[in-house]
Amino acid sequence: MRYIFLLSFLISFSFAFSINDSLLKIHAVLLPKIYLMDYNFKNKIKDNTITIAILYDANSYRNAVSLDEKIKDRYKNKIQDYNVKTVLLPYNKVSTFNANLYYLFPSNIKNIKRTVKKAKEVKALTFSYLNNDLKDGIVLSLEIGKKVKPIINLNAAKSADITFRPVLLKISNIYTSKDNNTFSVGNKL
Amino acid sequence: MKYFLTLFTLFCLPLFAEDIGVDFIESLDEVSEIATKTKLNVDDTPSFVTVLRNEELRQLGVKNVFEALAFVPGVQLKKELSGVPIVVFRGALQKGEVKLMVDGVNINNSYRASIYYYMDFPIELIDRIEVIRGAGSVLYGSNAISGVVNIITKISQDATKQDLFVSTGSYNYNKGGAVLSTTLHDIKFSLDSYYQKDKKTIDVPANASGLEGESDRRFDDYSVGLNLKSEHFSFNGRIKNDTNGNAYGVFGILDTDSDRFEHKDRSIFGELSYNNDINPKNNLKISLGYINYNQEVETALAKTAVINTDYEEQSYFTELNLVSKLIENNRLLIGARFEYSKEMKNDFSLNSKEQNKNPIIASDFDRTISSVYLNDEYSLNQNMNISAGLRYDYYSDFKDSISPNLGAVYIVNEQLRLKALYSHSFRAPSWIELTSNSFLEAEKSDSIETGIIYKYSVYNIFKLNIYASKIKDMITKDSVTRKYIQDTKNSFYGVELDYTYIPSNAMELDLMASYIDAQDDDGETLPNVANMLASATFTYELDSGFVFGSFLRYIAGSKRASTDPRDTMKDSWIFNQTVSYNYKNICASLVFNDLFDSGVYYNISPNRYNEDYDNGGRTVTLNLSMEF
Repeated sequence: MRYIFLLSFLISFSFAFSINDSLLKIHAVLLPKIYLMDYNFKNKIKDNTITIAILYDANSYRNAVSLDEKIKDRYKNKIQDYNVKTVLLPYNKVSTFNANLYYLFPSNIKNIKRTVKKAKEVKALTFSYLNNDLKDGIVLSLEIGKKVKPIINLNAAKSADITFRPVLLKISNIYTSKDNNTFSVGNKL
Repeated sequence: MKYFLTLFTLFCLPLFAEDIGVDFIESLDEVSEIATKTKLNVDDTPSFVTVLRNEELRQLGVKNVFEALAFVPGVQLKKELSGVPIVVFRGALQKGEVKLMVDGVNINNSYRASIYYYMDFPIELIDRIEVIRGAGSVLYGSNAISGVVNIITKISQDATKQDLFVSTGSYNYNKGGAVLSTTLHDIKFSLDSYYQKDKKTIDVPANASGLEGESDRRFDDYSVGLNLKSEHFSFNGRIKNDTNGNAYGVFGILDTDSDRFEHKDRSIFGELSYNNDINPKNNLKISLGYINYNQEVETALAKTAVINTDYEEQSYFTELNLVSKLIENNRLLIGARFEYSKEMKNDFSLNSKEQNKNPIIASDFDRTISSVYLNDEYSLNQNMNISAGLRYDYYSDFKDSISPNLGAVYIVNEQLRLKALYSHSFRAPSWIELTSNSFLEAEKSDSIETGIIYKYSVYNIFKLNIYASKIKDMITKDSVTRKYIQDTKNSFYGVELDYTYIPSNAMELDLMASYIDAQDDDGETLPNVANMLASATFTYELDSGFVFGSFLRYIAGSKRASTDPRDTMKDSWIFNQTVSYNYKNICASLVFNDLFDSGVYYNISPNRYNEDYDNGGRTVTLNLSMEF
């Protein structure tokens, strides 16, 4: 029994963060809107529809459902003149699905990298629940202080062919360091 | 035509871009407000707050509010002889020194200021528990001396959720319940309910006095909550009912008839609120509410004598809050509250419920409380936030009270924050205390606190705070006359630290420790206060859906009272292990409390059994929940 326990322990780990429902509410408000901040988004969407893939693994399925409901409640599948479509997608299927925005729940590095690769391929935006994932090539996340601020990895944005509007860059923190997970405040372009 | 189209496009595109920008910035303001309301950004506010969230607590196998509060630095859990749970914040032992609210509705009653009857409220119905460590009277009034606990239920939140849960475990423990919500015609209807019971008894072996028997710990508890929410109006109501065995007996005598002797609590509240953004800078909230509390006790006084009490009180309240951001960089809260409480039933009898009734407290007690308060949060610049508040309370049955506070947080850089806070708080004497001594005034406390938060990275967070507080005019029971008196003050000095370390994408380790030096008037260490509390929690998840949550807690031994000849209370270590499995929207978990069966003991005053409160050893609980 002890060996089975140890063996299960050695199998690749997923994530230990518990997901915060209030933070999901914040993400649900900002996700579709932040996609419109890409100058070229009109050239990237098909059938006038912004497709958001919510990526989950075994431990985040319930949170993925919750985020999906929150986006639907808020936007009723529409933002301005565009349709908003959300899709729940297990991480192991990310390479088979084209989306405009990939939302990442905490997962292992293999899944994060697989998503980054796919997003670059289809020029999609990536948005992570955890801002620490920016070091692995994710484009966007949020910093929760007295004011909520987006954090942008400009190098990652450039590799996915994303050009953000100046207004977003002005109010965001720019991810600058790969080594120590620190961020600079605003305007560091 | 082409010329005009090009001109039109050139003219409209910047407008569109500007609209998107403005809309996005407005959304950031909206979510910043969500972050403030749900306490996501407590590190940037001057108060010292711990937020316990449902997701984290369930991973660690926490059953109810009482168990959850063990995860707050500086909180010691205890029980009375009668089995009633007590939460001690920062060594402050007197009843009524902790304020409890459920969705912002006050739970402390006027009778004894007690809050114990919400300690068994199950975690499955809770979104989060917001805990202020230290004083908080400016916003919360009386009782906010050493801590403020606000239980935020899932049904009070905006999201629609459907959740079913069942549990079974040691001592025939069974629990079942649901959280349901739907939206009809723009009105959100939410309902929650649960029922739980167990048949726990603990053997009390024979001792030198020849007394022995069974300590009755059974409980039977249910609650139903309703929340209705439209654009501006909301209603929040709840009924909670519990029946409990008397453990070692209210007077330290095992009940001779455990099927009959018990204590019951019933709590009912309803609050109707109007909430409206009058304009983008001002928000107005007006509430009207009703609270009812009933307690019935039947317990042995001696081997042949039985005491029955039946007490009921009710309160009406109205409160107005205006939050204004009219002045740039300021968030000003102006509030007023009026409350009227009245005793409804007040019977005490010996050996018969129906005959020879006498009042427990003075008859026809009533109390009017009028309060006004204001609190301003001012952003001096990007790095400095200041908070200042003042409250005035007028009580009809004793003198008035003025409570100021002043706090600041300095954001040195993205990684480092420094905090400082001064606050004055009070506790109104309860009716049982005023019955004993009508000259009692409010207990008053003054606290100063400083803290540092260092976030080396999102994976490495260190928080440390140091406090000093004095409670003056303390209301205590004279051990000889058994009357409540007010001639002492206590001092509390302490340090609390919380360190979160996430060594890899798979694990999270949280270490907490607190040290308290609680002293009486003469500088002597207060008895029955554990001066050192420490805990470690460790959670890790597997890709397969398994989650392991471990919790180790250390409670230092405490000094006995000078009149207590027993040896010093020993140190204790408790280890809990939880194993959960997630499959889609279903979660099953197995919880081992006190896995190594070391026994959980609470320090109680000397009693006929000459023992501390034995809470039993290892228990196992199986939980199953489904969200849909």
